[in-house]
Amino acid sequence: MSQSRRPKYLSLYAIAFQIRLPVTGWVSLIHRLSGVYLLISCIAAVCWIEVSLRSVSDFAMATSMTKSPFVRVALLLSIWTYAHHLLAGIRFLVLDLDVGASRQAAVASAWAVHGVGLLMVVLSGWLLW
Amino acid sequence: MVALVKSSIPRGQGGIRGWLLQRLTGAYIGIFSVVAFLAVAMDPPSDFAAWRATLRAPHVAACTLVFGMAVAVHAWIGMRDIYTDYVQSVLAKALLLACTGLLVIWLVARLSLALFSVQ
Repeated sequence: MSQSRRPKYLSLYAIAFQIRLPVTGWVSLIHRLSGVYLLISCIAAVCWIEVSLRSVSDFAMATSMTKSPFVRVALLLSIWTYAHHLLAGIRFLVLDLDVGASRQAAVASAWAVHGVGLLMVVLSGWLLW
Repeated sequence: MVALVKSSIPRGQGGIRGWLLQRLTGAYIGIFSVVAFLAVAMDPPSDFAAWRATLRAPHVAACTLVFGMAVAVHAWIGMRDIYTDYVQSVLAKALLLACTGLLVIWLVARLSLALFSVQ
């Protein structure tokens, strides 16, 4: 393989399984993956809104669907994904302002994203049910 | 300030413009979703009529539509960044971007219909 000085974009396989990622790296990776997941889940969300606005019986079906434990678990998962994406995004915005860019601060804020994210999920679950 | 240079290279909302757009849309999305979630969680609509009246009220529908469009732009730029980083083939990237564009346009269209169609 020729020695190239151009930056290499690592494969997902390498990132996930071959390189030990620090917590800051994980927050960044999950930020990306959660974004993709959220985009896909928008399809279901838009369809749900559409159905819920269609008629009385459709609304009843849409709301009764949210009572099923399977749907609730999926919803909580989506809320966690969203909370993580939002918090990691805010973390990036703050880093853009050069706040907390030192290694210790960055690692601390990365752990905070995980912790606060889980807290938000618990709070949401409590608020909803 | 950022020098706005006219370039013939199409960047697909990349560069500084993409960076800024992602931040702006992200901010709106974040604020809207937290407000909306709290509003619905703390005062859930009692029935179909209440739900429909709430969501289709002009100011709510307008803000929700803007939210949909913000998500479309935000997601498009995000996916574009992902394709740029991991997809080497120009053809594959073009196809993926086209599919993503169609998806987000479809999402906004469906949302608009749900919010504004005369029914």
